[in-house]
Amino acid sequence: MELFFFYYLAGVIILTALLVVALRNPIYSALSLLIMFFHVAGLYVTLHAEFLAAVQVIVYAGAILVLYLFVVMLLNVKREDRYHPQFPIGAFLGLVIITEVLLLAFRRSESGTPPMPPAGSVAEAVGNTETIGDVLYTTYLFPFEVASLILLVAMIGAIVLAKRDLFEA
Amino acid sequence: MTFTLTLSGADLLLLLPEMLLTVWLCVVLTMDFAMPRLPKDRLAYLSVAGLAGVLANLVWFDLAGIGGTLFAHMFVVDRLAVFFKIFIVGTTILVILASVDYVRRFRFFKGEYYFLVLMSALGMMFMASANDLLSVFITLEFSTFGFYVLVAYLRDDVASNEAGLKFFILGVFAAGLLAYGISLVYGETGKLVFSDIASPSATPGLVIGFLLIFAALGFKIGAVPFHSWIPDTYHGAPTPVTAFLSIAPKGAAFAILIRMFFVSLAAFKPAWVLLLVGASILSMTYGNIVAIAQRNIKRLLAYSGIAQIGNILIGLAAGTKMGGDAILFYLLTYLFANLGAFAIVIAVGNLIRSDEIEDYNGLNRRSPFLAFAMLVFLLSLAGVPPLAGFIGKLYIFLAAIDEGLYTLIAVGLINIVISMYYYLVVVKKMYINEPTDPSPLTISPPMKVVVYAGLAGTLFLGIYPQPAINWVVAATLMFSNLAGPAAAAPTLVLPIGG
Amino acid sequence: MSNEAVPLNYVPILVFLVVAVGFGLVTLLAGRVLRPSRPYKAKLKAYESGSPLFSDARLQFPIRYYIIAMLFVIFDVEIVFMFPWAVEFRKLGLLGLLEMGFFIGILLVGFWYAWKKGALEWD
Repeated sequence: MELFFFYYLAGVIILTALLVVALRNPIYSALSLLIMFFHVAGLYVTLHAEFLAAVQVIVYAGAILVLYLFVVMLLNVKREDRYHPQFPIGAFLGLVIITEVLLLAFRRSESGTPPMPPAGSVAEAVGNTETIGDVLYTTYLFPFEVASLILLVAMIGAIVLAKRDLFEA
Repeated sequence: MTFTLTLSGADLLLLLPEMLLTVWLCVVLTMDFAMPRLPKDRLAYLSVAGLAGVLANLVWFDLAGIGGTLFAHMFVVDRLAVFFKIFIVGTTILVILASVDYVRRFRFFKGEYYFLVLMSALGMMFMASANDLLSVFITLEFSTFGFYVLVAYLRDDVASNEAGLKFFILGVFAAGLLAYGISLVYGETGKLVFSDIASPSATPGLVIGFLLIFAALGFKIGAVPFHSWIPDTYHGAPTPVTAFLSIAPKGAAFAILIRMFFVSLAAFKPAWVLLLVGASILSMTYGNIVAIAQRNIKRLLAYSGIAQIGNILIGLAAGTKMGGDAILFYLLTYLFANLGAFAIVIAVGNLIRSDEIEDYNGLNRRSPFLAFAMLVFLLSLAGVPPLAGFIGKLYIFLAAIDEGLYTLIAVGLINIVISMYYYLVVVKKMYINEPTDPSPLTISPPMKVVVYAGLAGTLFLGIYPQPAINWVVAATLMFSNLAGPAAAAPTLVLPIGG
Repeated sequence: MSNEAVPLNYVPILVFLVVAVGFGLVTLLAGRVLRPSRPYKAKLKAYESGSPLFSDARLQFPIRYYIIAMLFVIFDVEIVFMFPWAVEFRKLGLLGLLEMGFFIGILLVGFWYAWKKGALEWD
């Protein structure tokens, strides 16, 4: 049952990810991206990370995708007529990497030592949001504070690049 | 399981330089928008004052031997980190002084320029202290965001927009590779701290993960084959940003590379020596050969930068403590020479509004001081004694000879000869050709400070390098136990064959 | 919280999703099947209260929407960081409050900047 959910979600994610780059109309690509985000949130739910699933929907589908659509409408991106001329090279490189990753996945089952799963049993006892709250503000304080600086530079950078006429000359 | 955090006063002391810089850049930003009639040059000098304070703090850390780790080994302050932080803060001070004239020509957003430069410097200071893969990712992205905006700063200039777009797209692709590599390494080992991920067996996942991380870091330093963003970005960006971009992020990325290769991958040295030898040979050869054909001085310095990174990778390929020392010393010589050269380019660009090498004809007639300074910097980059570049290259080659990398050294020597050609072409144009417009050129006091600093550094490191060598040797003491190539015999499980 | 393979608490959401998609599909299909289809050219023109069309309806997309969306993303991420802190507020204590205070302080500087620079003006 769990495997069925995983295959369904993973399959739709791969399919819609391919559609994002393969569809000609940019709005259709954005909609495929939206479907992909929802299915990634579904994957998070199967991993008992409900907070991450909610964040995925709120931030990714709710804010970042909106931003993509605004950019598409701002730049009036038209339908593409044909694929990029370097598509064969890209496809070849993509095949090489997929082969490598598949070799990696099947070699996993042959070599003796399985990868160490991190201790996840604490998540079920208290829930994902509490666990993240516990660990983000204690052990991982450093990335958290750097994240605030990243948001600051993003805000200033966005205004510097997008704003035309200003308060000062 | 409870997670607790204990932050004592001694712990907070380790964060003092970054806290100071954070507070200072908030002050700079606030003064920019709260006092709109303030002349923006004051913000430049204010930033320099703050950075000087941070530099004094770091020098105190170095002399007093203050160090430690924080946040479960995610943030480390040791002599190596302090060295790179001093490197980055010094570069930033000189870059800001060199940008004062350039920023005066902007129509708007003058103050934010200084803020973004300080933000990138803060990000790179964090990179120097990053000791686990999560910190590496966050701090690398943080420092690059400032640069994405700075490269595209001239919004009315097509070249700047194109440079920003290319840099951004390739940069986030590299960030994607980094994230994927980190996730593979985490999946294989379950840990993120550099010393914890040094696992004895090389499963395919671990190998691919580290290769992807190396690809992302190679993008940052501009090694071939990850160099494609460099020429266009350096050409299109505002010249002070190019100067900053050509020195500081490379230094910060090398801090991470040194930690990764010497700590996490120490057991697999025979494997990655080949990788680094290949990258080094490609970078040196490609950079030098393509530089010969350049007509624009910024592109010339871009390709010369790629070649210099190839030289520094020789030190990384050596993989010993001496190799690490050589990398640090070479970075110091590269800082002074490259920053000096770019300062001259900024000054000449401000005055004659062009960056083509043809317009450097007869620079000696127009300003003997600028021509002489450019001569010194280019010769130092080429590796001519008694300048700093010569000692840097000598040190790197000695480290490589110790490890028996004779092919690499031979290629390096040939490349020195090739590089002399294009550096000397510029020198010839400056001294021998006639200028189209023989009016004299003068430069402003902040720029003079930068040029004098570059000259002083280049000459001092070339004639009396011993204090600097003592400093870098002390900075890499933690790697004293690095074994040579024949010592370890790791179990390598490669996906092809057995 | 239960410890099964698939959190059963979320199955109602799946049912809800299926019902919503099904509702849309069924109504569209029923319409397609049941309605007569007799198109002619005048039916396909855009409707403009009887008068003939005189211009394309598209305008240059105003950039202020984009700036607002960008600022929204940044503050949305800030709120997302505040959720786990709020849930664990008592356990994190004074130190947690100070950490979150620093986080919000940094973003307040950015907010003040956006305000003063006129990025929040509508026209």
